[in-house]
Amino acid sequence: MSRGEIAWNRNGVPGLNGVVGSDEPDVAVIGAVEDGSFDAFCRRELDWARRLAYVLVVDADAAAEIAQDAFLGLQPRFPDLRNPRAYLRVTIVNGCRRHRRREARRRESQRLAAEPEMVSPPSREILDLVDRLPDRQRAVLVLRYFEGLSEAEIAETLSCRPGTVKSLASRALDRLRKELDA
Amino acid sequence: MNGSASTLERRLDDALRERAAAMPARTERLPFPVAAPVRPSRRPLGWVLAAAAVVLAVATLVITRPFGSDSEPATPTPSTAPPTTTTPRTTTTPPSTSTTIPRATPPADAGAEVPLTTGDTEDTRFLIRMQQRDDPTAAPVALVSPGLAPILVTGPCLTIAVAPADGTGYQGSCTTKPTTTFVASIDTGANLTPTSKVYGAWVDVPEGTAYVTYAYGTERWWQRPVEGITYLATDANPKYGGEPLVARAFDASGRRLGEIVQTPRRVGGTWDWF
Repeated sequence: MSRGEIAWNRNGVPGLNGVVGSDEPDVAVIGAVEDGSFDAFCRRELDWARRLAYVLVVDADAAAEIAQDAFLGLQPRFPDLRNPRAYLRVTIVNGCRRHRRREARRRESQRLAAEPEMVSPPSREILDLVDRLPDRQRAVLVLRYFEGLSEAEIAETLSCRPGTVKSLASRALDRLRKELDA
Repeated sequence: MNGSASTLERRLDDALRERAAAMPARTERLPFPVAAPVRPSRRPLGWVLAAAAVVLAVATLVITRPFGSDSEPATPTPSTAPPTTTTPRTTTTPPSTSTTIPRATPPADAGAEVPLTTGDTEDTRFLIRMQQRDDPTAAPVALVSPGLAPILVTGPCLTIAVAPADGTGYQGSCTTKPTTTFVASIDTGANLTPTSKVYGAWVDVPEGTAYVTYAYGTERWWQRPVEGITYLATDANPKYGGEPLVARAFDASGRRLGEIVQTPRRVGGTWDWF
């Protein structure tokens, strides 16, 4: 199967929920997509970039703006980067850190409440604790558990040593554990 | 790693993904013009970008039939039926006969085949995509299901993101061991409903695999992988409680090459695939 072709799954999935064959085509498609242009990169990565920013700042408008700024900063460098996604991630993490600091000062001065977030109560409990962590501890947790990065990759993103990443993660988890057990 | 650390990390993982899934939908276009001139690349030939033209090849279409009850054939449900005003052009072709993988058949007790064949489509409405990050030689692959908005997920491992029509998404389990673990995601995001479906793929089955058998509860079926990929869908709320779903890869002589056991875990009072 070459790039651009897709595979089809016919006749449902027998055995699942009692579905056994049918005249109706039931298809699942597996395909391959290839495009190395900046345009295609942006289309592919835009949603991921916004979600990463959102997980860090919990503000959809700010997340979109941070992601946009990150893409704008990436654009002139794109042809020369071996790993544009990693570059984008660093920019987004830094942008989110700057945003949170500005927002913290603004909310404190204007006594504004945070945006309501549509998550379940168990997640709400732990996310509230995550949001109160210092910036770098929070970033380490997001990069480790949401992005699934290794210590080395997190270190590269945060411009620190892997040992520092380990220490930040350990302290963050200890703090969460103590708050949850309290 | 002790049990409490594992539980905390699992909760953390779930909460962050739920937060990402709860992000309000954005409908604006790319935030900036993308026709900017591209500087000549210093990359090897294989990475040279066209200066003026953009080569774009996208192919996805899925009209996956929704899953019905135990006692009746599946029929499309309003929640999964795709909104359409036009019919995308779609063509299909029979499976290629020029394959190096022998057309072996599993024993009769393996159930019915769920075959994969090849086709082509212009419909990009329904798309679940997976891509292995940081490996420019690995092509992204797409799984498609009805009623879902296009979304691409890339990560340091293989995962699937599914975006329902309302624009929220869910990023399923992330794995760096694609040959031994399913990557999967749920079509309704982190908030399960009784009709939520989970879509999974065993990507990169062992070399030489002629077919993959599936066993889940009393259900049995099998499939010949395409391009090393085998695909399945089932209820997001595990139908058989804590019983595992087992996928086994066999070569043409019936020798088992690999196995994935996906066991639902207990979360509160319910079972969860992840």
